[in-house]
Amino acid sequence: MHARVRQSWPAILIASLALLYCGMEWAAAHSIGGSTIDSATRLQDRADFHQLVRNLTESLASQCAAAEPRLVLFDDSEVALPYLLSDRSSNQIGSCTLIRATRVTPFDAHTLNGCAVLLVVEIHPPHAEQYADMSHFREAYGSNWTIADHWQSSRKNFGYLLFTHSGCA
Amino acid sequence: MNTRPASHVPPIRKLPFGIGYAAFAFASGCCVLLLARANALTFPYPWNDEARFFLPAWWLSTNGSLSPAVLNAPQGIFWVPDGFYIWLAAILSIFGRIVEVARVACELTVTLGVALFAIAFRRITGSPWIGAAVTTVLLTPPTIFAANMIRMEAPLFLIFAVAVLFHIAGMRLACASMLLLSLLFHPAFLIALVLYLLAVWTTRKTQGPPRKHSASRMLAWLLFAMVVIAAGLELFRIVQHFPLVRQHMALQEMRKAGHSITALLRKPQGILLGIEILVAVWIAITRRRGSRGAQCENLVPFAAAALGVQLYAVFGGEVMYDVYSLAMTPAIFLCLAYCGLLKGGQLRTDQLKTG
Repeated sequence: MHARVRQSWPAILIASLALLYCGMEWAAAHSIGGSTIDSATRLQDRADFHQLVRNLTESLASQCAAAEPRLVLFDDSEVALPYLLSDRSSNQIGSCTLIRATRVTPFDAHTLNGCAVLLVVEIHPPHAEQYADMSHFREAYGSNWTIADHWQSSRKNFGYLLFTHSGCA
Repeated sequence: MNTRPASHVPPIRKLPFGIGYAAFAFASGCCVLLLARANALTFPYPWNDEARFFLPAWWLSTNGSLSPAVLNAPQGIFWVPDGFYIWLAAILSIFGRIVEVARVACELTVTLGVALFAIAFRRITGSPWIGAAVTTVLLTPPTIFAANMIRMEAPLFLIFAVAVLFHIAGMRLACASMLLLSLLFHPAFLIALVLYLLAVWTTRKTQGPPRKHSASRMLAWLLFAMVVIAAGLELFRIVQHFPLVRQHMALQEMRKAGHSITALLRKPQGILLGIEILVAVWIAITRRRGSRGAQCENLVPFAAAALGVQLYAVFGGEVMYDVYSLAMTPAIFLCLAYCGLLKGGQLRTDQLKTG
């Protein structure tokens, strides 16, 4: 009996450590990068995000109904473009071409200053509050922009702002 | 003269694990899949990395080009190798160019990875109970988070699980090929490959001979040849676009270099790295004294590879690496610690059941 206990202690120790670690992980790592597993608001969050994608698609479709070609620029922080392009065979909506920057391929000044440009800025968790005062936006893009369209969910956690250059009639 | 008794029945080759354990491994994978599905789009929220990694794959499947103009990169984007884009583009071309297809593909890949890791842990520890207990370390939020991300962590997790299985089956060339394949998804896995090869070389005298079975050997060489060809093609592409590669990688390095090393080491991931290094050193020291079993010896190279992944995960300092630093590597090191606690192979937990 004693021999068995002596022999099995590594098994008991490792199994206990594994189970304890699993419990600790669920307690400590249930929230990662601003999102929480089994969040009470997850169904509402999902519905709000789908609404954002629907509304932004409609807004772009109406802005891009005109004949002249336009560029729709998405910032590197945006998340909706993959959903907008889902099931499409090109990055075109109407007469618009959708392009997104990354941190290694930012937009140059020439692209940003063009008159045929629409700039999309999204509001989404975990940084939904960041665009409340627009200072972040002005810091990145300057102040020569006017809002062409906007939408925000009732809980203010998802939304978008669609900008055009104010100098361009 | 045939001395064989008439009633002799050839022994049935025992499966490496029972049906019950196979069901557990499958259920573990399904558990991750269900939790990931229940938390899709909220754990994590849709984030910018999805766009950064989905759109090149979408572009490849729609335009047949690795230069995604949709990401303002008409000359190509070189912050990681193209393995993930090619893998995902193939899936999108078959099942539809929808972001949800990409997410489900990543979830199923992690699901399969969890099931294979569960089988590997059972084989490493020699006990279904310890194997099952260690597998619970993978049934935690970081794994679910990785399953829901459209990023290369999902295929890398599966590649690592397959590599462990190859290694414990004695197919070291196949294991090294899988680790080489991982470089086509993320260059940081070079640390894991180098540490693995170093550990195989260091422990070569005490490791068992490589697998002699001709089918296994053929499979390993075939895999190796395919991965070397793929790596060669990627290298050729990198050389062709070298100035752009250097520019994109410099931006990446600058961002990573901005992290404070002391702050990273104070995080739970850093503390785990310290513990794992201690376990590795303890195993290495006691191995020299010859007190540890062959089972444990066999795991040393893979623990070295896991340590390589942990080093990157800790110093990379981003939440997407939590699946390596908080789930996969701790589980592998728990197996190693268990083997290390066994003395000279005296104890096999399989035998404890029968007393």
